[in-house]
Amino acid sequence: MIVVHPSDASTPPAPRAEALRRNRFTRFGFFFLGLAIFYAPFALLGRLVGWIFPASMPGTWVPDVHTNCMRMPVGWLAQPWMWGWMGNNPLYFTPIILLPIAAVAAGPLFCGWLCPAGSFPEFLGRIVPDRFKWDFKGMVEITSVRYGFLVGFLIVPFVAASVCCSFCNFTWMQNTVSALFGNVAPWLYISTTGVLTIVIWIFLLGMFTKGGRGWCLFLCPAGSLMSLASGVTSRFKWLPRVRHDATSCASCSNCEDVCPVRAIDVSKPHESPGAAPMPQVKVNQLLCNVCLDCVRGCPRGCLRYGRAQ
Amino acid sequence: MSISRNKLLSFGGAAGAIGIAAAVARVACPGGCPTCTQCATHVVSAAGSTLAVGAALGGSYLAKKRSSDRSDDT
Repeated sequence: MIVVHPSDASTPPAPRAEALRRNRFTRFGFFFLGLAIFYAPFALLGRLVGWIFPASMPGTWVPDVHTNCMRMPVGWLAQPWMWGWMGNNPLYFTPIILLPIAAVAAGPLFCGWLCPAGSFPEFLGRIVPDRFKWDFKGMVEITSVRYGFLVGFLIVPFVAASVCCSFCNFTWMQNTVSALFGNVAPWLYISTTGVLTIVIWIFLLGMFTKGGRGWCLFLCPAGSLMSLASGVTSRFKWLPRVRHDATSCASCSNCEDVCPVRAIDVSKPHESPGAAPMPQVKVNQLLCNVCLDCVRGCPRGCLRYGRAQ
Repeated sequence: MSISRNKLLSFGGAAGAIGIAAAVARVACPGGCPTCTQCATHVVSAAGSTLAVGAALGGSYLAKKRSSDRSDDT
C-alpha cells in the first residue's frame, strides 16, 4: 500500500484513466453475457433450468427475461390461484431469493456487471457530455426515493393491481433484443406505454442522467432489493464490499465523479487545528452496484473490493 | 440516528406515487393491468405512472431545496 504524507495529499493526482477504461470495457463485455444468460432468443439460464426441470417448461414455451421477472412473483403472492404456477417454475424464485442471497454474499454484482437493461443507457450516455445531464445527487434524496418506490412496488399487488408491466426496462430491453433477432411484434405496442417508458429509461433517466443509471436508482425493484440485501449486511466486515481506506486518500473526488449510481460522498479533510487531515469518503452501500469503476479509477488505490480490514 | 423530514417525505412520496400509478393502471385496464400490453388504455396507465414518478422526484427535489434554503437563512 502506498502511504502518502499529508502534505503530498493536497495535490490531486491524475485519475487512472486506462484502468477505468479497461474496467468499463470489461463490463461492456459482460453486458453481452447478460443478454445471453437472461434474454430470448438465447435465455441460457432458462434453457438450463428447463433442461434440469422439464416440467417447468410446458409445451413450446421459450424462456425470456420475463421468466426471471421479480414483479410477477411478488404480484402472484397476492393471488393464491397463481401459487401453483409459480411453484412449478424455479426460475421465478431467481430474482426474489437467489439474487438477494448472491448480493449478500458479494454485493449486487448482477446490477453492475450482468444487467443489460441497466448498462444499456449507461453506455449510451457516454456519448453525451456531462454538462447536458441531470445529477440527481444533491437534488433529491436518492436513497429515500429509491426505497420508497421499492416499498410501493412490494405493497401495491396486495391492495390494487400492479404497475403496468410495460413500465419496465427489462420488458423493453427484451423487446429490443427480440426485434433485432426478427421478432418485431412486441415493438408494435410502442404506441402506448412503450413510448413513455423508453423516453424515461433511455433518455431522461439514462443518457441525460449523470451515470446513466437513473432507472436503476429509482424504478428497478429488483436492483433495489439486491442493494437493500447488500447494504444492510455490509456492516459485517467479512463480507466483500467496496471499502475505502483513508490513509492515502487525497479527496480528489474522482471516485465520486465516476460512480454511475452516485453512491460516493467525498468531504474534504478537516482543516481546523488539531484535527486529523483525513478525508471522509462514504460509500453508500444501499446504492452501490459494485461496478468497481471507483476502485479502478482511484489514482491512489484507496478504494478496493473486499473484506474490511 | 435521526431520519430527516426530507427523507421521510421522499420515501412516503415515492411509495405513494407507485400506489397512484397502480390505481390508475387498475382503473385504466378493466382486466386489472398488467401483462397483456395490447390495450389502448395502456397510454393512460403509462401517463399515470410517469406523472406519479415525476411528482415523487419533483416533491423530493422541492423538499430538499426548501430545507437547504431554510438552513441558509439561519
